[in-house]
Amino acid sequence: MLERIALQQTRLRTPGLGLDGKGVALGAKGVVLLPSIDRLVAWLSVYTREHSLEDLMPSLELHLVRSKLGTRELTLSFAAESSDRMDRIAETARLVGGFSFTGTSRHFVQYRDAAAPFGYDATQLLTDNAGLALYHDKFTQMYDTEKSLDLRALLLRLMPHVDPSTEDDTGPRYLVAEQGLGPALIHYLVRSQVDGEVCIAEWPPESAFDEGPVRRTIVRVPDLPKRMYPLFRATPGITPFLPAGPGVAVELGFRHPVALRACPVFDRGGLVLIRGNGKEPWAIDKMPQMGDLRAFARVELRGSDTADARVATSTGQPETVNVPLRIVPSSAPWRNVTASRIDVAQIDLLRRMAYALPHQTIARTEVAVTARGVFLRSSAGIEAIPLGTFFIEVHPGLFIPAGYDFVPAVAPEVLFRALGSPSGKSVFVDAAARAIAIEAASFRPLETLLLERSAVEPVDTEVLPDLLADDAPIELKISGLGAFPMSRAEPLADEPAG
Amino acid sequence: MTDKATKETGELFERVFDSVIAPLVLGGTLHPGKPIGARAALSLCEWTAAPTNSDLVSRVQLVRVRRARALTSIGHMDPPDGTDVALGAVLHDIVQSTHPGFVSVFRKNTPNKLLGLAESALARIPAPATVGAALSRHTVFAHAFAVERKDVVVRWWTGSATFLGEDPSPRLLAWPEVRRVHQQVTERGFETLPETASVDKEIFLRTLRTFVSKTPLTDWATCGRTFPAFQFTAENLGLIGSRIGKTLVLRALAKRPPQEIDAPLGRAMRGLVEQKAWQALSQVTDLLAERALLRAEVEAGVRNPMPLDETDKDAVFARCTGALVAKKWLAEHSTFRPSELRAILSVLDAEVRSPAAAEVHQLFGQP
Repeated sequence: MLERIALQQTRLRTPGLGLDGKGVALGAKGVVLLPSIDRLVAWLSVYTREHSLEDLMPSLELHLVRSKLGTRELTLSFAAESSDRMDRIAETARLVGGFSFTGTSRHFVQYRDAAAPFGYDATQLLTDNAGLALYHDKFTQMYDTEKSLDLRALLLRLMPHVDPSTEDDTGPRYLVAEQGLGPALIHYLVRSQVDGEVCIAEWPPESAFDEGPVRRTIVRVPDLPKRMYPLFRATPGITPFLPAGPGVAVELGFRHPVALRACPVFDRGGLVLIRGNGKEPWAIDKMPQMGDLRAFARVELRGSDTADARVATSTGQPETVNVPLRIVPSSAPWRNVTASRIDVAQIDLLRRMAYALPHQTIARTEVAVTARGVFLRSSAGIEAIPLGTFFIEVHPGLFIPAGYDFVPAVAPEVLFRALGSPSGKSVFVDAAARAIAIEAASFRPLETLLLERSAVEPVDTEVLPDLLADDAPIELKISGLGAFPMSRAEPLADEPAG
Repeated sequence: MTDKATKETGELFERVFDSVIAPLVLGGTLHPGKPIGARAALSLCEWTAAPTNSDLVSRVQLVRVRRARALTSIGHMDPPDGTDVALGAVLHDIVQSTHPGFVSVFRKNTPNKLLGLAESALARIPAPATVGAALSRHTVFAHAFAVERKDVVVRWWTGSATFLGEDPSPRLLAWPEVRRVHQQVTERGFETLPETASVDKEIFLRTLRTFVSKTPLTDWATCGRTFPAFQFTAENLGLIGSRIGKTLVLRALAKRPPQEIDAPLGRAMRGLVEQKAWQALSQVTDLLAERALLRAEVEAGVRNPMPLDETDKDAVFARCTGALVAKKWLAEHSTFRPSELRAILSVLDAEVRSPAAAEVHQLFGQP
């Protein structure tokens, strides 16, 4: 009853079926027919791994349908919108053993596949009054809708799978503590300086024998220290949950078969806590006000016999203290060693060393030649030139000898200000606390100072082809054989000599 | 392999590459040293490292690629591997077997012993497994038979001295006019080297034949040589068994004048006929037919084509066989235009109907 739609075919028989811009047969709606509930869950699981249901949700409907033969199957209908969307859905349906159809009201024909790239058209329409007529190249069937299914209810009924790998997942967590454990949990978290928010939620009594509503403390911790993972996993009465999407969280150690993040069926203002081991989920329709954990810390008051506060009687300026700067040896590790001073007598050594220095070192180093010595500076570190006294840069433009520290231990900015904050100069303080300021412009790249200008001797080029001539003669030259010419010429190991 | 053996093999590899392989490829002086022997030569087959003299390697590679590009479009060749260098070591020993220093009472049998070692090594060195390997080996040994030795006889007013492959002492050449010094230089080709040595010429010939069978493309490319005369072997027939190999062989043969090629091919083909090696013969006739077609296509456009030299019966035998098979092909399937076909057939008919082609007609039947 189906025929393939040909290229550039314009007339179709199925009502509500048209051609989109690519020439693919497409109705207003799409339908996926699935044989059982586990196939439906498989479809949701596979589809939500890659795509979100958000764009499908406004038009998504789940129905339990019944054929004339009495078999019950599930349909998933949605707005088709485009062949791209339909292709995605049909591909997933094919993977899980379902069939995809397209149409508008009652008559739905098989969606395109590899055999018919432009889709199918029904040659003969069924005239029964059933609510749904599906045309497939393998079957044609009428269905009546028996009942609708709620996706949210279905997701909540699905039992999460055991998945220990989630226990080491990082990120925010919800901790749900039973009534008696709440204050102790809050105090423990506050004492451990863990940030978080807390609220109390109430659930109706589970049976008539319960005295009143069940109250549980819910703590939302954005970043739980890793050392606490085992504690909360193993403590009875405290259940950790891992957020699985807006308004939903799954118990730690379990994973929901469907990617809940892709299913926008949970209210963002509420919270559904899905528990493992077949326990029913805890749902909160509207999250109560959450307060900072520290607000719930245990408080203690001083005795009432002490004064509220002791008030000062007078104030004054501190005495001025001036001490000279001293440079003292320090055992602190060297950091930021970016300059060195080489005595004038060691310049020859620097010249000889220049032949061994790598290009990067030479390119990065700047040098200033002064009467007090040669100062080298390299932002990437000066240790590559193992010569002279190393200096560390404690403040931009302020250097002290490596292995030394300055006292009094004021901030480097303070010291720089005390030295007059010379702008455009590098200040070197030596071990005797004498400061030398060198103009920044005096530092020139070492690369430009290294090479002497040398004369270039012009030479003529040689003709290379002579060296590579293919028919060059091969001349055999004989030299003496020596006393024992065959001393090295040995037969093969498995052959007799001679 | 112990460390000592590895070191010795590495040194030998470098020595053979520098003193044998490089001169064979680049030309220059081939300076053989102490005989190498079978065991050391075969140990080179396991050597996988490239030669260390990178400058020499780059020049050798340049010439090898140039040689290969004369036959096919190729842009890169790997440096000579251990097997190539092992073959070079064997060639070194073959050349050394003609050393005049062995011409003495106590060393008379040494050259034959050395050739025996070379033969046992050649028996273990495999023929190239692919057309590419054959091409690679050819680029190394293409000029192996171009080795020459300059023998100088120096005469002066009281005596004379002969220097075989050695430079005469400058002392003997001093005051040439007063001492009436006269030099006679003889350039001795590879085939005449045994004449001044104590080596058995038959063994030398047999060893050289085995050597050349290990580089089949060189065997084809130098089939016009006189020593050792070209023969069909499993190796050179195996090369023309593939389409690519046959194309390379045709291109290599096309580099030489036809009169140099046809005679040895005809002579070698008579050997196949005598042995009744019909399968091998069909491979050779296919090759000759393609040569005949190529020649006919060229000569069809020439106003006065080169006449067939009927004095050399071997050459006529080869050309006539090729023409006969080519005519048969054209009769079965031809893609030429009628005018071209007529011109080509006229050239082929001239060869088939020559008086000297009677032997071929007798063998293959009338055209």
